[in-house]
Amino acid sequence: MTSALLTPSSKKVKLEEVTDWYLSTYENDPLRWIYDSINIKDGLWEKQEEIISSVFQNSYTAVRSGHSTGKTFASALCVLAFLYTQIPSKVITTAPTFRQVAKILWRDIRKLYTHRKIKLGGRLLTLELFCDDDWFALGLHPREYDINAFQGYHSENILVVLDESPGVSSDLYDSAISLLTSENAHLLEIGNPTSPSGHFYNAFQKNSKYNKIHINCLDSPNIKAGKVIRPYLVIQKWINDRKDTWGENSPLWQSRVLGEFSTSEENSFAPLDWVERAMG
Amino acid sequence: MRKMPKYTIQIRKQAFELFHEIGTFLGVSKQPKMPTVQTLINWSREDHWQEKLEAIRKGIRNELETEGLNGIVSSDIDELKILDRLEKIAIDEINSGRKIKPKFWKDIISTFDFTTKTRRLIKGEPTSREEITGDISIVDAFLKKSKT
Repeated sequence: MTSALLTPSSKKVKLEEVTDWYLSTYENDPLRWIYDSINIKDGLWEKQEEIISSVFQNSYTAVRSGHSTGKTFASALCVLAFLYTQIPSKVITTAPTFRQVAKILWRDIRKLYTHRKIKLGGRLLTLELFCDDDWFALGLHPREYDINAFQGYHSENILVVLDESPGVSSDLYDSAISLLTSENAHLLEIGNPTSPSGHFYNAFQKNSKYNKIHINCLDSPNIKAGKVIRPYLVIQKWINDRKDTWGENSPLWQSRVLGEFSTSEENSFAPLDWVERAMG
Repeated sequence: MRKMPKYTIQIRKQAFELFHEIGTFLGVSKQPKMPTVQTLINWSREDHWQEKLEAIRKGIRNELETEGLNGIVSSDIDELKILDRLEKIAIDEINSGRKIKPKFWKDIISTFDFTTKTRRLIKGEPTSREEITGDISIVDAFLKKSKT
C-alpha cells in the first residue's frame, strides 16, 4: 500500500488504513522515514545513519566527533524522525548557550522542515515544532533548564538531545536524565570531546550504558574520496591548515579533528573547554 | 366449450410476488387485478407459498453468511428485503416515469443514500468513514484519528 500522506493524490483512502500503514512502516525505521519524507540532496553518510539508528535502538547514545562531520545535521533529523514516527512524542533539545540552541541545531531543524517532501503538519516556530499539547519538539533555553522546568515534559515517547554536550552543566544533564523514565525514552549526547571529565567523558567509559559513536574527521566522505563531494562537510584544506596551525600532538587536533579526548590536559594551564567557553 | 380461467398464471405469479412484498393476503387483495382473500389463501396452499418464501429467506440468509454476517437476525433479514424491494420499486417507478417524477437528481441520490445507510446499519457496518486525500498532513491525520 502506498500512503496517501506520501503520494499527494486526489484518490480518497480510509484514514485508519493510512495511519496504521504509516506507523507499521516508519515507527521502527527512522531512516526510511527520513529518505521518504525529507529532501536530502546527497543522502546521509554512514556515520549519520549510524547516529540516527542508534538513537532509536538505544536508550543512551553519545557521539564524539571532530568538526563539521554532519553530527548536528543528523541530530536535527533525529528530532524530526522521532517527532513524526513516535506519535505522540516530546522531543527536548538544549545546548550550553541560547545561541547554540537557536542558531545551530534548530537552524538545521527549521531548514529540514522546509525541505520536507510531504505534508508533515505542525506549527514551526523559532524553537518549537508544535503538533499538539502532548506532541511537540522544543528547544530549551539553558536558563529554563532546571529540574522544576522539566516536570511538565515527561512522556511515554521522549527524546532528549544535548547538543555540544561537553559544555552542558551537570545540573542540566541531571535534569535531562530525570525525563528518561519511560520505556521509549532516549537520550542523544553529541559534541566535540573537549574535556576528559564530566558526564560526556563518562559516557565513553567502558562500563557506561551508552552506545558510543566516534567520528574522526579523517574518515569523513570528502577526506576519504580525496575530493569535495559534500561541500558542507570537513574538507582536506581545513585538515591541512589545522595540522600546520595546531600540530598533530596538540589537544585541539585530538579533539577537533580526531574526535578524541585530549590526553594532555593534566599538563595544561586550563582545560580546553574552559578556554573555549572563556572565548565565548 | 372449455371455461377460461378467471385469473391467468401471470396473475397468480404476480399475487405471490405481491404477497412476498406486502406480507398479508388482505393487502394483496386490495391491489388492482388481484382476487379475494379466500382465493389468495387457496392459491397459497396450492402453490406452496410459505415453502417458497422460506426458500427465499434461506437463500438470503446463505448469501449473508457468505458475506460474513452470520450474526444477523431474521427480523433484520426482513428489513433488508424491504429495503431491496423499496429500491426496486423506486427504480421501476423512476424508469417508467409514472408516479415518481423527481425534480432534482439530488432527491434520487438522497433516497438511495438513505437505503444504503439503513442497509449498512442493519448489517452492522459503518455508515460513514473518515476519508483523507494526499492533501492532509501527518499531524492532521493522527489528530483526526485520535478524535474518532
